[in-house]
Amino acid sequence: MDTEKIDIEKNITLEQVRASIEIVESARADQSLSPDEKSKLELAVVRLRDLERSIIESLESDLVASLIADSRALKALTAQIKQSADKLSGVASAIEKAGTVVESLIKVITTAAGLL
Amino acid sequence: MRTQTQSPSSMKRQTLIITLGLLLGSCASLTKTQIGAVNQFSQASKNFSAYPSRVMTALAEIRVKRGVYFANTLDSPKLHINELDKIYQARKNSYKYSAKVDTTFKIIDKYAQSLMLLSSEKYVSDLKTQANNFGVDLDSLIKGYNSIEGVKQVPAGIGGAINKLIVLGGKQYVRSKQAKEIKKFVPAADSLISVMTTNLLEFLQSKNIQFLVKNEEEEVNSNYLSFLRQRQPGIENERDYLDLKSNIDAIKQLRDQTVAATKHLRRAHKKLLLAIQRRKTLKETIPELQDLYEDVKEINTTIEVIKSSKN
Repeated sequence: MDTEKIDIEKNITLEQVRASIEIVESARADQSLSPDEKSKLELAVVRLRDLERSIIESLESDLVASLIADSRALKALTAQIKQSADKLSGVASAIEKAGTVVESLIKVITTAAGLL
Repeated sequence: MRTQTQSPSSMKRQTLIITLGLLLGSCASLTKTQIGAVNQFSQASKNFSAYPSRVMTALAEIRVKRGVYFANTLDSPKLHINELDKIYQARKNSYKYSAKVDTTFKIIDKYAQSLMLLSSEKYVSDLKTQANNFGVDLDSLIKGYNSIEGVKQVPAGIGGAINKLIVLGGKQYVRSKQAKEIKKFVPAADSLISVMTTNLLEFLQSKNIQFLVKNEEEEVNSNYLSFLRQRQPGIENERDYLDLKSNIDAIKQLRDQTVAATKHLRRAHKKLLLAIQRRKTLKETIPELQDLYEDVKEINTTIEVIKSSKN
């Protein structure tokens, strides 16, 4: 609830900044301004643009924080699934090992029988 | 060798025990419908991870373009270049945030790919390859053994029978293990997928996103108006302005599409969960048992052949 309130306040500020920019921009368009007046208005509008950027960045930061908070648990679970898949790969190699043992045994018997 | 000392009745008993064991093991395997649901979920999540952050990067690109129009209105070279630097830095920051969103949703992609890997048929194929090599080698060794003068003859073809037993036993073991693991992981992941997709829907439909889109809509107009007040526009500038406006529309559409894709992803996982938790129907069980029966029958035939060659 508080977060929503803060978000709304940020939006109101953003609207106020936009309105201020428009006032300064229309004043800056006046052809009768002195170079000094024009330069001051230019600086003012740049400051307002800075303010706008910082509000936008703050909104972006809040949005991302709410998204990434709950992803860690799924990441851990995915690692467990990968481990299980690796274990299944081991079944085929276990059979290969068992086969090698039986083959060796028969080779020994064959050699022994050949010696008789 | 043991096969030479066993009575036919004891052999039949052993075959029956093996068959029953295998039948029970087979009942715990995944059905084609369940594997299909894993594939469907994987398809639904494919490339999904790229969508959520695209709304943010598209907004960042609009900010850069309209920002350049504003910077161009500044007469002071110092203020002008500073403004361009700030636009560049803000774009970098936006991409940093969107990269975090990307990483978060790549986890769902990775999870789906892991499920596909776990339910893959490749483990059974690996078993068949290993067992086939083993059977051939065993038969050639037996042939060598039988060629030795004066030894008790070992039935030829026993390698093939052992091979089939290994494949059948291994296949059932792998399939029941796959089913057990999938049935453990999918329900555990469901609540996590639910939380992540709910968060994403809140993000996409949040007031903050609406503020950001609305701000760009108004600022595209405001920045271009500043440019018109201070400079003479060319045809390219006018086209840029119209492109920016249509990009805003595209972002709104992208947001709606991502909302739909997120809901689809959520439904696909729910469907997967239901498919995994559902008991096998008789229609699904009978063909599996029939396949298994054919495998067992083949093994029995080989054993019979061995027995007859022995007599």
